[in-house]
Amino acid sequence: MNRLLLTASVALLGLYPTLAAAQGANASAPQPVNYTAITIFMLFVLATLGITYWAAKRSKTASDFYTAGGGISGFQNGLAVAGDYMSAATLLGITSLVYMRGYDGFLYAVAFFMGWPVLLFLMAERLRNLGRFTFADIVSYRLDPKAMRIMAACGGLIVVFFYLIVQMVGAGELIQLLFGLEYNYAVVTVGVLMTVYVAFGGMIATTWVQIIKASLLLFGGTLLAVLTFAQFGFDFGKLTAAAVAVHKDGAAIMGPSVLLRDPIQAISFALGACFGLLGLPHILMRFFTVPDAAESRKSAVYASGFIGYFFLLICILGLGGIAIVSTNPQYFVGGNVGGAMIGGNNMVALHLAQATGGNLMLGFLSAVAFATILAVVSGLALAGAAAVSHDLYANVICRGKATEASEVRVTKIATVVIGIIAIGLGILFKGQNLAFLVALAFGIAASSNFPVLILSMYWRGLTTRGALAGGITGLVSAVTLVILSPAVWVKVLGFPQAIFPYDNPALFSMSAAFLMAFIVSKTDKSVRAKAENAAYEDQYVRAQTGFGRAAASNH
Amino acid sequence: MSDPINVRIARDPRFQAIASRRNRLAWTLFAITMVLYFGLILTATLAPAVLGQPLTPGGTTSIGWPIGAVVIIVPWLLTIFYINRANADSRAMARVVEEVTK
Repeated sequence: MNRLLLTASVALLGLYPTLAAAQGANASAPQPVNYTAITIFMLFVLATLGITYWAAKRSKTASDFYTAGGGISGFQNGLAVAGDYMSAATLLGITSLVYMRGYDGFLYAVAFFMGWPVLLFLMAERLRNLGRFTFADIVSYRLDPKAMRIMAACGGLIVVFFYLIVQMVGAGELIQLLFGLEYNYAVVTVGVLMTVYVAFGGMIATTWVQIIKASLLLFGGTLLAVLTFAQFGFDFGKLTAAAVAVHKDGAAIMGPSVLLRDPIQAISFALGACFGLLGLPHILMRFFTVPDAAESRKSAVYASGFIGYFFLLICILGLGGIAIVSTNPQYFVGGNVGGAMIGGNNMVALHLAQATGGNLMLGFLSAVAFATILAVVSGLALAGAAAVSHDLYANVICRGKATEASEVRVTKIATVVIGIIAIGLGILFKGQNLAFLVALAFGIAASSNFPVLILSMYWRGLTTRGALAGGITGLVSAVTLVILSPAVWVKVLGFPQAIFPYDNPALFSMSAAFLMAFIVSKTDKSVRAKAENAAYEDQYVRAQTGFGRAAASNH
Repeated sequence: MSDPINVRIARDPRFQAIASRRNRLAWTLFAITMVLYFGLILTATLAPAVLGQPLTPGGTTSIGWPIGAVVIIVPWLLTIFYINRANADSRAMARVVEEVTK
């Protein structure tokens, strides 16, 4: 541990010389050194490393590692799970979308909120009652454990890695911009800290990192929204009037414009954004950290509240950005209002912080954005490590006979490996346009993980063959359609015309997965299929009551 | 195959009543959420002008903003309604399980 801590602090201390170098050599590093940002961020890192040290002493068993021993309260978990979802990309990306497209950005926020109530209504209780460490526990409850775990672990890992790449590249660029720390150092810093949190502190540390960060983010977002809104006398009408008056599209930003122009695209996007959430492994995993179904429900209610509130705030930030930032030459390259924004359009929220609260607010929000990235990648790394060690190692390779100590050891090794891969991919994908990876992560989550999970929970007739056919169909079709979509076929591969015209595959790939799972299960007349149908009753009683969970979780 | 205790719980009419009541509640609230959500999405794509019209004559704020806020806030209120009901049902169900298994 000491060595890793040392590496982390070296990487962090390395900040100062590189800062100076970046300033001297590279005039395009746009932000001046912000000591508030660096101080607050250092405090965050010190506090979270302290928590990791404390958590490391309490993380002995596999249950401690994966689920914090099931001892997280509904409120704490609500904050943590909301934190997992509210990444820096959410704060910066949605603010910038509202800034550029007005109401379209708001529709985007609504769509990415919608999975939360659905998660409560359809899944929160059953997740807690049926699962133990990973969502693969649930899909393999009455189906063939080996085949189902391999598929669920692969679906989970793919989503985790796509998400991680996006976060790492975003982290590198953002930190370079905000702190002047060179891209590769930034990626290494994030990767090393993430590995330390997860490998030593497991879910206990990861949860507390996430809780602190979510509180900071909610506080920072609220403060910024209040400062912004205050300039318009807390009158939404004045804010929209000011935004419409200066935006190049004028009153058109008050209604839907391009995002959902095509109905098929709109429906496909809406399905993916909503149901993708229900297949994100790092989100699902959090529902195993609470003691019972009642706390699980409570966490979903809190998380929905925090996220809904935060997304509503973001709209004020976006509109405020139009009214305040878009007219100020200080925030544009060469002072050219309407030209390129310093640091790119994703910087609107940060420029707004500077405009409304000065360098102190900018520093605070920058530090929060950095902390956010760290917390989100940690949650992802833990979910990935759990898929490797609990699903693939303990239950597939060792057929459930692995000792707890060896499972925990494999988790730690897997975390370090994931950390190294994440750093490597972050450096490899530097400067790439990765928007498609988000579509891909949500597309796969909605088309492969979600259909198999929900059918295994609710449909007696699902068989192993059906689940495999559905899951693989969803995975393959989502990947294929994204490759053929404009985001990859045209923007990455450079072909003139996309074969699949929509950016989001969910309408097609998710339907295909459900249809395939249904047809194959229905035509599966094997002996095993009959046994799987018969075992639904046991599963149903436990899904409803949680009865037998403690006893059953030991096999 | 099935655990005999689970069979007894599953066949208990009180368990069945509570379970089906809660399932019905969950699916109903899910359906309301989806109607609101796809109502907004389909309006945005098929009749965008509806959402773009001003809230008050001569004002700039469009009706789309409060409608979007409603589509976030109402499902959230439904989640609160749901846990109140589900918690009561869970307690009732725990009593049934306790009786059946003792």
